[in-house]
Amino acid sequence: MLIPTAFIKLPDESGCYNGEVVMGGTVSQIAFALSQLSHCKFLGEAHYQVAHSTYSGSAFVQGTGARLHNYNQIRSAYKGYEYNFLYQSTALSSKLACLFSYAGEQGADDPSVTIEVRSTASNSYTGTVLDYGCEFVNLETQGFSLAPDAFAFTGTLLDYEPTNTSADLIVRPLFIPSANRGELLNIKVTVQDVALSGFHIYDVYEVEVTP
Amino acid sequence: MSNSYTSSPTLVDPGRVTASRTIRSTEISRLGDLSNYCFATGGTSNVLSQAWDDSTFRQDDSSAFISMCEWYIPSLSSSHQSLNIVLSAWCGTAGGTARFVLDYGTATYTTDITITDTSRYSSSFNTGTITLTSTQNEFAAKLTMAVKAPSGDEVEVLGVMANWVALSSPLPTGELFHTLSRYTPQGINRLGANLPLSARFGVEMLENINTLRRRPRVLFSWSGVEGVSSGEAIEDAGAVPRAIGSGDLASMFSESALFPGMVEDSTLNIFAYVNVKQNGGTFSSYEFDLFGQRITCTSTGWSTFTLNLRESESDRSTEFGLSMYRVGPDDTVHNTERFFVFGKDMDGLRGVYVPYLAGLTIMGV
Repeated sequence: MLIPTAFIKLPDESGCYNGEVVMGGTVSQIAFALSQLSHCKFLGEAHYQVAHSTYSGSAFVQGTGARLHNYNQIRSAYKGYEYNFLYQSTALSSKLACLFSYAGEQGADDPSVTIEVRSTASNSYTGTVLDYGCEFVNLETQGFSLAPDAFAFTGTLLDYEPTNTSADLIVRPLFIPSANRGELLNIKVTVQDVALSGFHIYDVYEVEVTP
Repeated sequence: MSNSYTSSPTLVDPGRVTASRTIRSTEISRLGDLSNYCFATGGTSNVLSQAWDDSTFRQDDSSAFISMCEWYIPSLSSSHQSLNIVLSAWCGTAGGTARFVLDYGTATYTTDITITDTSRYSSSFNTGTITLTSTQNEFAAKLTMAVKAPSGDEVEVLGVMANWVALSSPLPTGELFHTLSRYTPQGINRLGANLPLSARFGVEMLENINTLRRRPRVLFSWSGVEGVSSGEAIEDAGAVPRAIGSGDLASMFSESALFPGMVEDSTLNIFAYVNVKQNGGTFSSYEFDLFGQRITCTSTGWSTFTLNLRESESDRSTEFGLSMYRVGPDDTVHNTERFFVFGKDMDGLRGVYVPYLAGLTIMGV
Protein backbone atom coordinates (compact mmCIF):
# COMPACT_ATOMS: atom_id res chain seq x y z
CA MET A 1 0.00 0.00 0.00
CA LEU A 2 1.35 3.42 -0.91
CA ILE A 3 1.47 5.65 2.17
CA PRO A 4 0.40 9.22 1.45
CA THR A 5 2.35 12.04 3.05
CA ALA A 6 -0.38 14.64 2.78
CA PHE A 7 -3.48 15.32 4.81
CA ILE A 8 -5.70 14.42 1.89
CA LYS A 9 -9.19 15.82 1.71
CA LEU A 10 -11.69 13.58 3.47
CA PRO A 11 -14.98 12.48 1.93
CA ASP A 12 -18.17 14.26 2.83
CA GLU A 13 -19.71 12.86 5.98
CA SER A 14 -23.14 12.66 4.36
CA GLY A 15 -21.78 9.98 2.04
CA CYS A 16 -21.83 7.62 5.02
CA TYR A 17 -25.39 8.35 6.12
CA ASN A 18 -28.17 5.79 6.27
CA GLY A 19 -29.82 5.35 2.93
CA GLU A 20 -26.67 6.25 0.99
CA VAL A 21 -24.76 3.72 -1.06
CA VAL A 22 -21.27 3.75 0.46
CA MET A 23 -18.86 4.13 -2.43
CA GLY A 24 -15.47 2.45 -2.67
CA GLY A 25 -13.86 5.86 -2.91
CA THR A 26 -15.21 6.83 0.51
CA VAL A 27 -13.69 3.80 2.21
CA SER A 28 -10.50 4.26 0.21
CA GLN A 29 -10.10 7.84 1.41
CA ILE A 30 -10.59 6.77 5.02
CA ALA A 31 -8.05 3.98 4.57
CA PHE A 32 -5.39 6.26 3.09
CA ALA A 33 -6.01 9.00 5.66
CA LEU A 34 -5.49 6.50 8.49
CA SER A 35 -2.36 5.04 6.93
CA GLN A 36 -0.96 8.57 6.62
CA LEU A 37 -1.47 8.98 10.38
CA SER A 38 -0.03 5.63 11.46
CA HIS A 39 2.83 5.33 8.97
CA CYS A 40 3.77 8.95 8.38
CA LYS A 41 2.57 11.59 10.83
CA PHE A 42 3.02 9.49 13.97
CA LEU A 43 6.45 8.14 13.13
CA GLY A 44 8.76 8.89 16.01
CA GLU A 45 11.35 11.65 16.11
CA ALA A 46 13.61 13.24 18.71
CA HIS A 47 15.53 16.49 18.46
CA TYR A 48 18.40 16.93 20.90
CA GLN A 49 20.13 20.30 21.10
CA VAL A 50 23.49 19.75 22.81
CA ALA A 51 24.63 22.66 24.96
CA HIS A 52 28.27 23.52 25.48
CA SER A 53 30.13 25.83 27.77
CA THR A 54 29.66 29.47 26.82
CA TYR A 55 32.93 30.43 28.43
CA SER A 56 35.30 32.33 26.20
CA GLY A 57 38.29 34.57 26.61
CA SER A 58 36.08 37.60 27.13
CA ALA A 59 33.92 35.94 29.79
CA PHE A 60 35.55 37.76 32.69
CA VAL A 61 34.53 41.05 31.11
CA GLN A 62 31.26 40.07 29.44
CA GLY A 63 29.98 37.15 31.50
CA THR A 64 28.70 33.83 30.21
CA GLY A 65 25.25 32.51 29.32
CA ALA A 66 24.88 32.48 25.56
CA ARG A 67 26.82 30.99 22.70
CA LEU A 68 27.90 34.04 20.76
CA HIS A 69 30.44 32.40 18.46
CA ASN A 70 31.47 28.95 17.41
CA TYR A 71 34.92 28.92 18.92
CA ASN A 72 36.02 27.39 22.20
CA GLN A 73 33.79 24.37 21.73
CA ILE A 74 36.41 21.77 20.95
CA ARG A 75 38.06 20.46 24.05
CA SER A 76 40.86 17.97 24.42
CA ALA A 77 38.43 15.64 26.21
CA TYR A 78 36.50 15.11 22.98
CA LYS A 79 38.66 12.18 21.99
CA GLY A 80 36.82 8.90 22.31
CA TYR A 81 34.05 10.72 24.13
CA GLU A 82 30.59 9.22 24.40
CA TYR A 83 27.06 10.56 24.49
CA ASN A 84 23.86 8.61 25.07
CA PHE A 85 20.71 9.92 23.41
CA LEU A 86 17.56 8.16 24.59
CA TYR A 87 14.82 7.57 22.09
CA GLN A 88 11.33 6.23 22.67
CA SER A 89 10.81 4.15 19.56
CA THR A 90 7.48 3.12 18.03
CA ALA A 91 6.15 -0.15 16.70
CA LEU A 92 7.22 1.09 13.27
CA SER A 93 10.81 2.02 14.24
CA SER A 94 12.49 -0.52 12.00
CA LYS A 95 15.12 1.94 10.78
CA LEU A 96 16.37 5.09 12.48
CA ALA A 97 17.91 7.91 10.49
CA CYS A 98 20.27 10.21 12.38
CA LEU A 99 21.16 13.78 11.49
CA PHE A 100 23.67 15.74 13.52
CA SER A 101 25.36 19.10 13.57
CA TYR A 102 28.93 19.33 14.74
CA ALA A 103 32.18 21.23 14.80
CA GLY A 104 35.32 19.28 13.90
CA GLU A 105 38.49 20.35 15.64
CA GLN A 106 40.58 22.69 13.58
CA GLY A 107 43.61 20.83 12.25
CA ALA A 108 42.47 17.41 13.49
CA ASP A 109 43.69 14.49 11.42
CA ASP A 110 40.50 12.46 11.14
CA PRO A 111 37.46 13.68 13.09
CA SER A 112 34.90 10.91 13.32
CA VAL A 113 31.55 10.04 14.86
CA THR A 114 30.36 6.49 15.56
CA ILE A 115 26.70 5.71 16.25
CA GLU A 116 25.22 2.49 17.52
CA VAL A 117 21.97 1.51 19.18
CA ARG A 118 21.61 -0.37 22.46
CA SER A 119 18.77 -1.70 24.52
CA THR A 120 18.08 0.02 27.84
CA ALA A 121 17.33 -2.98 30.03
CA SER A 122 17.72 -2.04 33.71
CA ASN A 123 18.15 1.58 32.63
CA SER A 124 21.71 0.75 31.66
CA TYR A 125 23.84 2.71 29.22
CA THR A 126 25.66 -0.51 28.37
CA GLY A 127 22.72 -2.68 27.33
CA THR A 128 22.85 -5.22 24.52
CA VAL A 129 24.03 -3.80 21.22
CA LEU A 130 21.10 -4.02 18.80
CA ASP A 131 23.03 -2.63 15.85
CA TYR A 132 26.72 -1.75 15.77
CA GLY A 133 25.76 1.02 13.40
CA CYS A 134 28.21 3.02 11.40
CA GLU A 135 31.09 5.43 11.60
CA PHE A 136 31.33 8.80 9.93
CA VAL A 137 35.00 9.24 9.12
CA ASN A 138 37.04 12.17 7.95
CA LEU A 139 34.42 14.70 8.92
CA GLU A 140 34.84 18.36 8.12
CA THR A 141 37.07 20.42 10.34
CA GLN A 142 36.64 24.05 11.12
CA GLY A 143 38.50 25.98 8.48
CA PHE A 144 38.51 29.07 10.67
CA SER A 145 37.58 29.68 14.26
CA LEU A 146 34.21 31.29 13.57
CA ALA A 147 33.08 28.68 11.04
CA PRO A 148 29.48 27.56 11.42
CA ASP A 149 28.67 23.99 12.40
CA ALA A 150 28.58 21.30 9.72
CA PHE A 151 25.90 18.64 9.29
CA ALA A 152 26.09 14.90 8.64
CA PHE A 153 23.28 12.48 7.89
CA THR A 154 22.94 8.72 7.80
CA GLY A 155 20.46 8.89 4.95
CA THR A 156 17.31 6.80 4.96
CA LEU A 157 18.24 3.90 2.69
CA LEU A 158 18.75 0.45 4.22
CA ASP A 159 17.39 -2.53 2.32
CA TYR A 160 19.05 -5.32 4.29
CA GLU A 161 19.33 -6.46 7.89
CA PRO A 162 22.88 -5.58 9.00
CA THR A 163 25.01 -8.26 10.65
CA ASN A 164 28.22 -6.31 11.19
CA THR A 165 29.87 -6.71 14.60
CA SER A 166 31.72 -3.41 14.55
CA ALA A 167 30.81 -0.04 13.14
CA ASP A 168 30.12 -0.10 9.41
CA LEU A 169 32.16 2.36 7.37
CA ILE A 170 29.26 2.71 4.97
CA VAL A 171 27.03 5.33 6.50
CA ARG A 172 23.49 4.04 6.87
CA PRO A 173 20.43 4.22 9.16
CA LEU A 174 20.39 2.13 12.33
CA PHE A 175 18.43 -1.09 12.24
CA ILE A 176 16.07 -2.01 15.10
CA PRO A 177 15.18 -5.70 15.52
CA SER A 178 11.44 -6.31 15.58
CA ALA A 179 11.54 -7.45 19.23
CA ASN A 180 12.86 -4.07 20.32
CA ARG A 181 10.55 -1.78 18.38
CA GLY A 182 8.45 0.29 20.72
CA GLU A 183 11.08 0.20 23.47
CA LEU A 184 13.18 2.96 24.93
CA LEU A 185 16.45 2.80 22.98
CA ASN A 186 19.88 4.25 23.60
CA ILE A 187 21.62 5.81 20.63
CA LYS A 188 25.22 5.73 21.76
CA VAL A 189 27.45 8.23 19.98
CA THR A 190 31.24 8.26 20.24
CA VAL A 191 33.10 11.27 18.91
CA GLN A 192 36.75 11.84 18.00
CA ASP A 193 37.81 15.50 17.78
CA VAL A 194 34.23 16.52 17.27
CA ALA A 195 31.77 18.57 19.32
CA LEU A 196 28.12 17.80 18.70
CA SER A 197 25.70 20.69 18.82
CA GLY A 198 22.57 18.82 17.75
CA PHE A 199 21.49 15.22 17.31
CA HIS A 200 18.22 14.32 15.62
CA ILE A 201 16.65 10.85 15.40
CA TYR A 202 13.88 9.84 13.01
CA ASP A 203 11.81 6.78 12.23
CA VAL A 204 12.28 6.27 8.51
CA TYR A 205 9.23 6.85 6.37
CA GLU A 206 8.51 4.01 3.94
CA VAL A 207 6.75 4.95 0.74
CA GLU A 208 5.14 1.55 0.32
CA VAL A 209 4.10 -0.94 3.00
CA THR A 210 2.75 -4.42 2.45
CA PRO A 211 -0.63 -4.79 4.22
CA MET B 1 -17.33 -4.74 22.33
CA SER B 2 -13.57 -4.44 22.67
CA ASN B 3 -11.87 -1.25 21.52
CA SER B 4 -8.75 -3.21 20.79
CA TYR B 5 -5.86 -2.57 18.43
CA THR B 6 -2.98 -4.47 16.93
CA SER B 7 0.65 -3.43 17.19
CA SER B 8 2.30 -3.33 14.70
CA PRO B 9 -0.73 -1.89 12.99
CA THR B 10 -2.50 -3.64 10.16
CA LEU B 11 -3.26 -1.82 6.96
CA VAL B 12 -6.13 -2.49 4.59
CA ASP B 13 -5.55 -3.98 1.18
CA PRO B 14 -5.88 -0.95 -1.11
CA GLY B 15 -7.04 -3.20 -3.90
CA ARG B 16 -10.13 -4.03 -1.86
CA VAL B 17 -11.35 -0.50 -1.23
CA THR B 18 -11.58 0.85 -4.73
CA ALA B 19 -14.66 1.68 -6.71
CA SER B 20 -16.78 -1.26 -7.87
CA ARG B 21 -15.38 -3.67 -5.24
CA THR B 22 -17.56 -5.09 -2.52
CA ILE B 23 -16.72 -3.71 0.93
CA ARG B 24 -15.53 -6.63 3.06
CA SER B 25 -15.73 -6.71 6.83
CA THR B 26 -11.99 -7.45 6.90
CA GLU B 27 -11.20 -3.97 5.63
CA ILE B 28 -13.70 -2.28 7.92
CA SER B 29 -12.36 -4.17 10.93
CA ARG B 30 -8.80 -3.20 10.04
CA LEU B 31 -9.79 0.45 9.74
CA GLY B 32 -11.22 0.37 13.24
CA ASP B 33 -8.11 -1.38 14.53
CA LEU B 34 -5.79 1.12 12.84
CA SER B 35 -7.77 4.06 14.15
CA ASN B 36 -7.52 2.74 17.72
CA TYR B 37 -3.78 2.15 17.24
CA CYS B 38 -3.27 5.75 16.14
CA PHE B 39 -5.16 7.14 19.11
CA ALA B 40 -3.32 4.94 21.61
CA THR B 41 0.24 5.32 20.31
CA GLY B 42 0.36 8.41 18.10
CA GLY B 43 2.82 10.98 19.43
CA THR B 44 4.20 8.79 22.23
CA SER B 45 7.78 9.20 21.03
CA ASN B 46 9.94 11.91 22.64
CA VAL B 47 8.07 15.10 23.54
CA LEU B 48 11.14 16.51 25.25
CA SER B 49 14.79 15.93 24.34
CA GLN B 50 17.74 18.04 25.44
CA ALA B 51 21.39 17.39 26.24
CA TRP B 52 24.29 19.20 27.85
CA ASP B 53 27.96 18.58 27.50
CA ASP B 54 30.04 17.84 30.57
CA SER B 55 30.82 20.55 33.11
CA THR B 56 28.07 22.86 31.93
CA PHE B 57 24.82 22.06 33.78
CA ARG B 58 25.88 22.02 37.42
CA GLN B 59 24.17 22.58 40.76
CA ASP B 60 25.84 22.58 44.17
CA ASP B 61 23.07 24.04 46.32
CA SER B 62 21.97 21.49 48.90
CA SER B 63 19.60 23.71 50.86
CA ALA B 64 16.65 23.67 48.44
CA PHE B 65 15.50 22.66 44.98
CA ILE B 66 16.70 25.26 42.50
CA SER B 67 14.36 25.74 39.53
CA MET B 68 16.56 25.51 36.43
CA CYS B 69 14.66 24.60 33.22
CA GLU B 70 11.18 25.00 31.76
CA TRP B 71 9.59 23.44 28.70
CA TYR B 72 6.14 23.18 27.20
CA ILE B 73 5.07 19.72 26.15
CA PRO B 74 1.96 18.80 24.17
CA SER B 75 -1.00 16.89 25.49
CA LEU B 76 -1.96 13.88 23.37
CA SER B 77 -5.44 13.37 24.81
CA SER B 78 -7.25 13.46 28.10
CA SER B 79 -6.67 9.72 28.32
CA HIS B 80 -2.87 9.83 28.11
CA GLN B 81 -2.14 10.33 31.77
CA SER B 82 1.34 8.90 32.35
CA LEU B 83 4.36 11.00 31.50
CA ASN B 84 7.64 9.11 31.55
CA ILE B 85 10.72 11.21 32.35
CA VAL B 86 14.27 9.97 31.83
CA LEU B 87 17.22 11.79 33.35
CA SER B 88 20.90 11.32 32.57
CA ALA B 89 22.87 12.89 35.41
CA TRP B 90 25.56 12.10 37.93
CA CYS B 91 26.74 13.14 41.35
CA GLY B 92 29.81 11.93 43.21
CA THR B 93 27.87 11.57 46.45
CA ALA B 94 24.51 9.88 47.01
CA GLY B 95 21.55 12.17 47.46
CA GLY B 96 21.42 14.28 44.31
CA THR B 97 17.81 14.77 43.22
CA ALA B 98 15.92 16.32 40.33
CA ARG B 99 12.33 17.43 40.80
CA PHE B 100 9.97 17.64 37.83
CA VAL B 101 6.77 19.65 38.18
CA LEU B 102 4.06 19.46 35.55
CA ASP B 103 1.61 22.36 35.47
CA TYR B 104 -1.29 20.96 33.51
CA GLY B 105 -4.55 22.87 33.41
CA THR B 106 -5.70 23.43 36.95
CA ALA B 107 -3.54 20.71 38.43
CA THR B 108 0.10 20.41 39.42
CA TYR B 109 1.98 17.12 39.58
CA THR B 110 5.43 16.40 40.93
CA THR B 111 7.92 13.57 40.76
CA ASP B 112 11.39 13.41 42.27
CA ILE B 113 14.16 11.45 40.58
CA THR B 114 17.11 10.32 42.66
CA ILE B 115 20.40 10.38 40.79
CA THR B 116 22.42 7.20 41.16
CA ASP B 117 25.36 7.53 38.78
CA THR B 118 28.59 8.68 40.39
CA SER B 119 30.43 9.71 37.22
CA ARG B 120 29.57 10.70 33.67
CA TYR B 121 27.50 7.92 32.02
CA SER B 122 29.05 5.43 34.46
CA SER B 123 26.17 3.00 34.75
CA SER B 124 22.52 3.91 34.35
CA PHE B 125 20.03 6.69 33.81
CA ASN B 126 17.18 7.38 36.21
CA THR B 127 13.48 7.57 35.52
CA GLY B 128 10.32 8.97 37.02
CA THR B 129 6.67 8.96 36.09
CA ILE B 130 4.06 11.65 36.51
CA THR B 131 0.60 10.13 36.67
CA LEU B 132 -2.32 12.48 36.20
CA THR B 133 -5.13 11.93 38.63
CA SER B 134 -7.69 14.24 37.08
CA THR B 135 -8.87 14.73 33.53
CA GLN B 136 -7.42 17.80 31.83
CA ASN B 137 -8.20 19.03 28.36
CA GLU B 138 -5.38 21.49 27.82
CA PHE B 139 -3.42 21.61 24.59
CA ALA B 140 -0.07 21.68 26.38
CA ALA B 141 1.49 21.61 29.82
CA LYS B 142 4.51 23.27 31.38
CA LEU B 143 7.25 21.03 32.76
CA THR B 144 9.80 22.47 35.18
CA MET B 145 13.00 20.84 36.36
CA ALA B 146 14.58 21.75 39.69
CA VAL B 147 17.76 20.27 41.08
CA LYS B 148 19.12 19.82 44.61
CA ALA B 149 22.64 18.64 45.36
CA PRO B 150 23.76 16.58 48.33
CA SER B 151 25.72 18.45 50.94
CA GLY B 152 29.28 19.05 49.84
CA ASP B 153 28.92 17.85 46.26
CA GLU B 154 27.56 18.88 42.87
CA VAL B 155 24.96 17.42 40.53
CA GLU B 156 25.72 17.43 36.81
CA VAL B 157 22.89 16.95 34.33
CA LEU B 158 23.75 15.45 30.94
CA GLY B 159 20.37 14.97 29.34
CA VAL B 160 16.64 14.73 29.79
CA MET B 161 13.87 13.22 27.72
CA ALA B 162 10.18 12.63 28.27
CA ASN B 163 7.38 10.81 26.52
CA TRP B 164 3.74 10.05 27.14
CA VAL B 165 3.08 6.38 27.77
CA ALA B 166 0.99 4.79 25.04
CA LEU B 167 -2.45 3.51 26.01
CA SER B 168 -2.73 -0.23 26.17
CA SER B 169 -5.25 -2.23 24.17
CA PRO B 170 -8.21 -2.11 24.48
CA LEU B 171 -8.93 1.61 24.70
CA PRO B 172 -11.30 2.88 27.38
CA THR B 173 -14.98 2.85 26.55
CA GLY B 174 -16.92 5.98 25.74
CA GLU B 175 -15.93 9.16 23.97
CA LEU B 176 -12.37 10.40 24.44
CA PHE B 177 -11.08 13.91 23.89
CA HIS B 178 -8.14 16.02 22.90
CA THR B 179 -9.02 19.59 23.93
CA LEU B 180 -12.43 19.94 22.26
CA SER B 181 -11.87 17.34 19.56
CA ARG B 182 -13.68 14.07 20.08
CA TYR B 183 -12.46 10.57 19.42
CA THR B 184 -14.80 7.58 19.51
CA PRO B 185 -12.99 4.25 19.97
CA GLN B 186 -14.04 1.58 17.55
CA GLY B 187 -15.39 -1.64 19.00
CA ILE B 188 -13.81 -4.26 16.80
CA ASN B 189 -16.52 -6.82 17.62
CA ARG B 190 -19.06 -4.44 16.10
CA LEU B 191 -17.27 -4.54 12.77
CA GLY B 192 -17.63 -8.25 12.11
CA ALA B 193 -19.20 -9.86 9.06
CA ASN B 194 -22.39 -10.74 10.91
CA LEU B 195 -23.24 -7.14 11.79
CA PRO B 196 -24.48 -4.27 9.64
CA LEU B 197 -22.10 -1.54 8.49
CA SER B 198 -23.78 1.40 10.12
CA ALA B 199 -23.66 5.08 9.27
CA ARG B 200 -22.12 5.51 12.72
CA PHE B 201 -18.88 3.90 11.59
CA GLY B 202 -18.25 6.25 8.68
CA VAL B 203 -19.24 9.40 10.53
CA GLU B 204 -17.13 8.55 13.57
CA MET B 205 -14.13 7.55 11.51
CA LEU B 206 -14.09 10.91 9.75
CA GLU B 207 -14.32 12.72 13.07
CA ASN B 208 -11.61 10.49 14.54
CA ILE B 209 -9.25 11.21 11.66
CA ASN B 210 -9.76 14.94 12.07
CA THR B 211 -9.10 14.66 15.81
CA LEU B 212 -5.89 12.71 15.22
CA ARG B 213 -4.71 15.13 12.55
CA ARG B 214 -4.85 17.90 15.16
CA ARG B 215 -2.75 15.98 17.69
CA PRO B 216 0.47 17.98 18.13
CA ARG B 217 4.03 16.80 17.57
CA VAL B 218 7.12 18.45 19.05
CA LEU B 219 9.25 19.90 16.29
CA PHE B 220 11.69 21.89 18.41
CA SER B 221 12.25 22.12 22.14
CA TRP B 222 14.88 23.98 24.10
CA SER B 223 15.28 25.51 27.52
CA GLY B 224 18.01 27.70 28.91
CA VAL B 225 19.36 26.83 32.35
CA GLU B 226 18.96 29.28 35.22
CA GLY B 227 20.46 29.20 38.66
CA VAL B 228 23.50 27.14 37.77
CA SER B 229 26.06 26.97 40.54
CA SER B 230 29.40 25.24 40.82
CA GLY B 231 32.35 25.33 43.15
CA GLU B 232 34.68 25.23 40.20
CA ALA B 233 35.99 28.24 38.30
CA ILE B 234 33.73 29.45 35.51
CA GLU B 235 36.23 28.44 32.84
CA ASP B 236 35.98 24.86 34.12
CA ALA B 237 32.30 24.42 34.91
CA GLY B 238 28.94 26.11 35.01
CA ALA B 239 29.03 28.31 31.91
CA VAL B 240 25.81 26.78 30.66
CA PRO B 241 23.65 28.54 28.05
CA ARG B 242 20.84 30.55 29.61
CA ALA B 243 19.74 32.10 26.35
CA ILE B 244 19.72 31.28 22.67
CA GLY B 245 22.76 33.14 21.36
CA SER B 246 23.79 34.47 18.00
CA GLY B 247 26.33 31.64 17.71
CA ASP B 248 23.48 29.12 17.87
CA LEU B 249 21.63 30.32 14.81
CA ALA B 250 23.53 28.32 12.21
CA SER B 251 22.71 24.99 13.81
CA MET B 252 20.07 25.31 16.53
CA PHE B 253 17.05 24.07 14.64
CA SER B 254 15.30 20.85 13.79
CA GLU B 255 14.57 19.48 10.39
CA SER B 256 11.03 18.23 10.73
CA ALA B 257 8.30 17.04 8.44
CA LEU B 258 5.17 19.10 7.92
CA PHE B 259 2.51 17.64 5.73
CA PRO B 260 0.85 19.02 2.61
CA GLY B 261 -2.80 19.81 3.21
CA MET B 262 -2.13 21.73 6.43
CA VAL B 263 -2.61 25.08 4.80
CA GLU B 264 -6.06 24.15 3.48
CA ASP B 265 -7.33 23.20 6.95
CA SER B 266 -7.59 26.07 9.42
CA THR B 267 -7.60 23.65 12.37
CA LEU B 268 -4.10 22.36 11.55
CA ASN B 269 -1.58 24.79 12.96
CA ILE B 270 1.94 25.32 14.19
CA PHE B 271 2.31 26.73 17.69
CA ALA B 272 5.29 28.40 19.30
CA TYR B 273 5.71 28.65 23.07
CA VAL B 274 8.21 31.40 23.79
CA ASN B 275 9.83 32.17 27.14
CA VAL B 276 11.37 35.63 27.33
CA LYS B 277 13.19 36.74 30.45
CA GLN B 278 14.30 40.12 31.67
CA ASN B 279 15.67 40.07 35.18
CA GLY B 280 15.13 43.72 36.08
CA GLY B 281 14.31 47.17 34.74
CA THR B 282 11.32 47.97 32.54
CA PHE B 283 10.42 45.53 29.80
CA SER B 284 9.06 47.03 26.60
CA SER B 285 8.89 44.28 23.97
CA TYR B 286 11.04 41.59 22.40
CA GLU B 287 11.05 40.80 18.69
CA PHE B 288 12.74 37.96 16.89
CA ASP B 289 12.36 35.95 13.70
CA LEU B 290 10.89 32.50 13.97
CA PHE B 291 9.96 30.13 11.15
CA GLY B 292 9.81 32.97 8.66
CA GLN B 293 7.79 35.33 10.83
CA ARG B 294 8.66 38.17 13.17
CA ILE B 295 7.37 37.41 16.64
CA THR B 296 6.69 40.22 19.10
CA CYS B 297 6.54 39.32 22.77
CA THR B 298 4.84 42.05 24.77
CA SER B 299 5.46 40.57 28.17
CA THR B 300 8.07 38.46 29.88
CA GLY B 301 7.42 34.81 30.70
CA TRP B 302 5.74 32.34 28.39
CA SER B 303 3.73 33.54 25.39
CA THR B 304 2.00 31.49 22.70
CA PHE B 305 1.95 32.23 18.99
CA THR B 306 0.32 30.59 15.99
CA LEU B 307 2.71 30.35 13.07
CA ASN B 308 1.94 30.12 9.37
CA LEU B 309 3.71 27.74 7.05
CA ARG B 310 5.61 30.22 4.86
CA GLU B 311 9.01 28.62 4.61
CA SER B 312 10.37 26.62 1.72
CA GLU B 313 11.13 22.94 2.12
CA SER B 314 14.67 21.98 3.07
CA ASP B 315 17.01 20.26 0.63
CA ARG B 316 16.77 17.05 2.63
CA SER B 317 13.11 16.49 1.70
CA THR B 318 14.10 14.19 -1.13
CA GLU B 319 16.14 11.95 1.15
CA PHE B 320 13.39 11.70 3.75
CA GLY B 321 10.62 11.38 1.16
CA LEU B 322 8.73 13.97 3.19
CA SER B 323 8.29 17.73 3.15
CA MET B 324 11.02 18.74 5.59
CA TYR B 325 11.38 22.22 7.05
CA ARG B 326 13.96 24.05 9.10
CA VAL B 327 12.17 24.64 12.41
CA GLY B 328 13.71 26.99 14.94
CA PRO B 329 14.93 30.56 15.29
CA ASP B 330 15.79 31.96 11.87
CA ASP B 331 19.37 32.74 10.93
CA THR B 332 18.66 36.37 10.11
CA VAL B 333 20.57 39.59 10.70
CA HIS B 334 17.81 40.71 13.07
CA ASN B 335 18.21 37.59 15.19
CA THR B 336 22.01 37.81 15.09
CA GLU B 337 21.77 41.27 16.62
CA ARG B 338 18.95 40.38 19.00
CA PHE B 339 20.63 37.24 20.32
CA PHE B 340 24.05 38.80 20.81
CA VAL B 341 23.56 39.08 24.55
CA PHE B 342 26.26 38.92 27.21
CA GLY B 343 25.84 37.27 30.56
CA LYS B 344 26.54 40.47 32.44
CA ASP B 345 23.75 42.21 30.53
CA MET B 346 21.27 39.46 31.42
CA ASP B 347 22.06 40.17 35.06
CA GLY B 348 22.10 43.96 34.69
CA LEU B 349 25.68 44.18 35.89
CA ARG B 350 26.39 47.07 33.57
CA GLY B 351 23.38 49.08 34.64
CA VAL B 352 20.91 47.84 32.02
CA TYR B 353 18.95 44.60 31.97
CA VAL B 354 18.74 43.04 28.53
CA PRO B 355 15.86 40.66 27.62
CA TYR B 356 16.77 37.25 26.29
CA LEU B 357 15.13 34.16 24.82
CA ALA B 358 15.20 31.59 27.63
CA GLY B 359 13.00 28.88 26.20
CA LEU B 360 11.30 27.85 23.00
CA THR B 361 9.03 24.97 22.06
CA ILE B 362 7.50 24.59 18.60
CA MET B 363 4.69 22.13 18.00
CA GLY B 364 3.17 21.18 14.70
CA VAL B 365 0.58 18.67 13.60
